[in-house]
Amino acid sequence: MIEVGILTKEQKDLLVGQEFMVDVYFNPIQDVNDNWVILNDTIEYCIYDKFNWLKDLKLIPYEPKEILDL
Amino acid sequence: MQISISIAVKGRNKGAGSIPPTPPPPPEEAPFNTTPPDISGTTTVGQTLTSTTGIWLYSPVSYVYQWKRGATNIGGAKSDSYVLVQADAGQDITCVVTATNSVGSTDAQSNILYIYDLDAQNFVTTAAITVSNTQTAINDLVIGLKSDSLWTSMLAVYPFVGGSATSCKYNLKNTATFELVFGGTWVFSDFGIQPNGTDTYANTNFTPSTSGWASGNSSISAYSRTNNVMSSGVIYGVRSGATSTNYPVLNVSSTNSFHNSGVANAPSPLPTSTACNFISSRINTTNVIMAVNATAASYASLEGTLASVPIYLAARRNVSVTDLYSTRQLAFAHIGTGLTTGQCTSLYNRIQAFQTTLGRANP
Repeated sequence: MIEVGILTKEQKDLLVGQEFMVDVYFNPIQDVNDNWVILNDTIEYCIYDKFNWLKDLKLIPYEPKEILDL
Repeated sequence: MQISISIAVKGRNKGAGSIPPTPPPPPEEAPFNTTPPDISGTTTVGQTLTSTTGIWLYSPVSYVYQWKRGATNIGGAKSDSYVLVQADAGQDITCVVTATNSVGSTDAQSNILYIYDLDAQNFVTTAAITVSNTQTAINDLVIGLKSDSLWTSMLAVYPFVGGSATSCKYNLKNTATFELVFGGTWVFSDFGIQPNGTDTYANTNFTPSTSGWASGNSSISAYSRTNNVMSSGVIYGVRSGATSTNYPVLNVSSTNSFHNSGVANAPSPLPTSTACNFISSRINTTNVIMAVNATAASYASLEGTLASVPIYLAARRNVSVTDLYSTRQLAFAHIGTGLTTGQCTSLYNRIQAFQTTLGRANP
């Protein structure tokens, strides 16, 4: 089971374009319910103190959107 | 007790009655080398190497230099310096110094220097690649691509070496362009870059409509080390519109495939494993060349509009949404101009040799 942290729209906007480790950037995604979420792995890999607030995010199981094949 | 005595002689040694100076004794043997010549300098094509004479016994009166590429004498390279040329890339260079005196001549060989292609050296330096075997693999890859006249067709080459996001982000063709931007939780290792299929992408910053592709003149490849079955089969993705003619640039499934702004049937036969190298190439607007490892063939595929958003590796980039994430580990990728079927096979052979040197080749 993949765990993700739920983000508000404002929190998502704060993360986009920001590094969580050297040369790797946050990529918030939307789950099946259109929640903005971030993978728990990303939170664990994050090396910057300014994003410590991510550790307080509520974690839920990731339910991906159904994506139609091309 | 010590006693010092000094004697001063006055007068001039002049005329037939004077005592001639004593000549040095003739050498007893031909020159004998005690310290080999030393060659030094920057070991990159275009730079100059210089050689010392080394240290010799029995008073050589002259030295002759001969630079060698492997075991072969380099024509005209007979001075104490030598400017490296492209033919030296990937070769061992030495200098043989021949010392001569009145008795005879003796050769002595210098230390050996391995020579780097300038583009390979730039990449190794910029990406901070310190492992010798990896440096050699990069050098051999660049030399091979140039030897096969493939280098000029390359616009971006991603060898994914060094095991970190920073080392894997650079474009071997030109480290100042098309640098990858990684998003999501990738795993970087000596085996390449591992996406997770959920949130990972690598933005090449290469936009098909503006970065060097042209109608009927494009190619793209990916070396996957993962054998899996995915509904979408995504390796690359980009789309800028709502029709299949500007859908993903490289996406293969069991039923169809998308290439460089067009759609085609699936390659036949389908690869038996998705752990393979896949190349898609257009050299006209009505066909696409698909190459699975060394096997390349042409398929009917009408080209549409070149996309105006960047190519993402391991995911599809819609106008504003990233989706269809891949789980396949990538060990090489390129974006270039169109390649013929023969060039696709040549490119695969170079890529496979590169992976073999690094110990990460698909069987």
